[in-house]
Amino acid sequence: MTEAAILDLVIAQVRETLSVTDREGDSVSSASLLFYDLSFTSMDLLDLLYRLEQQCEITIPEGTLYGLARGDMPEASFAADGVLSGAGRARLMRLLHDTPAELFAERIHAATLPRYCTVGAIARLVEHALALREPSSS
Amino acid sequence: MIPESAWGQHGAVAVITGATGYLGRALARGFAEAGATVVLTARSEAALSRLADDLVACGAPIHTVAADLTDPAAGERIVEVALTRAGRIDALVLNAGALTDGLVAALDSDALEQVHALNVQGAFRLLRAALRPMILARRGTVIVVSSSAARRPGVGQAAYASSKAALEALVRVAARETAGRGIRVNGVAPGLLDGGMAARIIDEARDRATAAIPMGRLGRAEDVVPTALFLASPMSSYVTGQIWGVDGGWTA
Repeated sequence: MTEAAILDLVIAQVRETLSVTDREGDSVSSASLLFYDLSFTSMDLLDLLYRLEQQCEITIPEGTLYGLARGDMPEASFAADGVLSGAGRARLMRLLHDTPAELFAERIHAATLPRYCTVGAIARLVEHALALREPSSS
Repeated sequence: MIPESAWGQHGAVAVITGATGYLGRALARGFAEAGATVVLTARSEAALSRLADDLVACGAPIHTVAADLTDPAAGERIVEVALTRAGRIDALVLNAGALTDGLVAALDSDALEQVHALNVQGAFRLLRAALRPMILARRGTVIVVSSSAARRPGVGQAAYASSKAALEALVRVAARETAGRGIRVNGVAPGLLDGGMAARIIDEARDRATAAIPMGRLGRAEDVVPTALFLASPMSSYVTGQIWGVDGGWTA
């Protein structure tokens, strides 16, 4: 799948998720923030991920975003007591580069990372999962 | 008499745990007679096979899955088998349960853990696994079999009553979380039934137990089935997060 096709698929599924509660999905774009712009709930996110996993035959395990942000950084340097370190926060901001910097809280709890995701970031997660499934197609 | 078609079970698939026990058999029969395809689970393959033979006359498709819900992988496996063989899950009836008696002051912590391992964790893992296809389908009903002991526990029921109280909290949380996805989660709380796990209590104190029930009789498994069917049916389409007592007035 091309990047554009993945983004289109994610946007379609975001709209499908929003439709459950009759929310308007016309303005959804790559830059839309799920929780800030589209009023996503944690159940909406789960619903979206289930749909993307089913459609793309991939798995996006819990903690994927955390793992991608941390990369090769030692766990202890990335976060302590469930809160990202300064360096960890910077890594997250680099990963979610299309999220406005001013939205990132000073103290970011590890469990709250998805709230900083744009639709584009979810598309990149899908791309990552597809690449894991089919290394040759990435 | 409510016509069979009103239960809305024709073409539906109901997964029922603890299906070979006293209440489980009645639930299995009730859903099968109402026209549902039933996916029956219990630990014993032989007991499941006998139950399936008993229910053949109902005419509904019957599938069995031998599984021990204390096995962490059992929930996912049951859901996988149900989806593979029956194609969907419309109703999940979490009926499997265990009971151990003991005064709090003398209760073995392992005994408490064992009861919770099946009654709470086993139910939770299967519920979690079944919610995924339900969320994707945007429909489904879950009926959790609790007990009047959750609301009105007796002496010696610490392990059992606390496990059922935990299940009731799980019902309410799951109901709130999934209501927007077309899923309803409710509980049914039988009182003292004349069979099954309460048999020992009844054998020892039948008259005393009966006298304490406002309706003046012990419950039967068949008393519980219509409430479970109602909660699985479109007749209860605006009902979620509730615990329905079926106890002859015991908790009134």
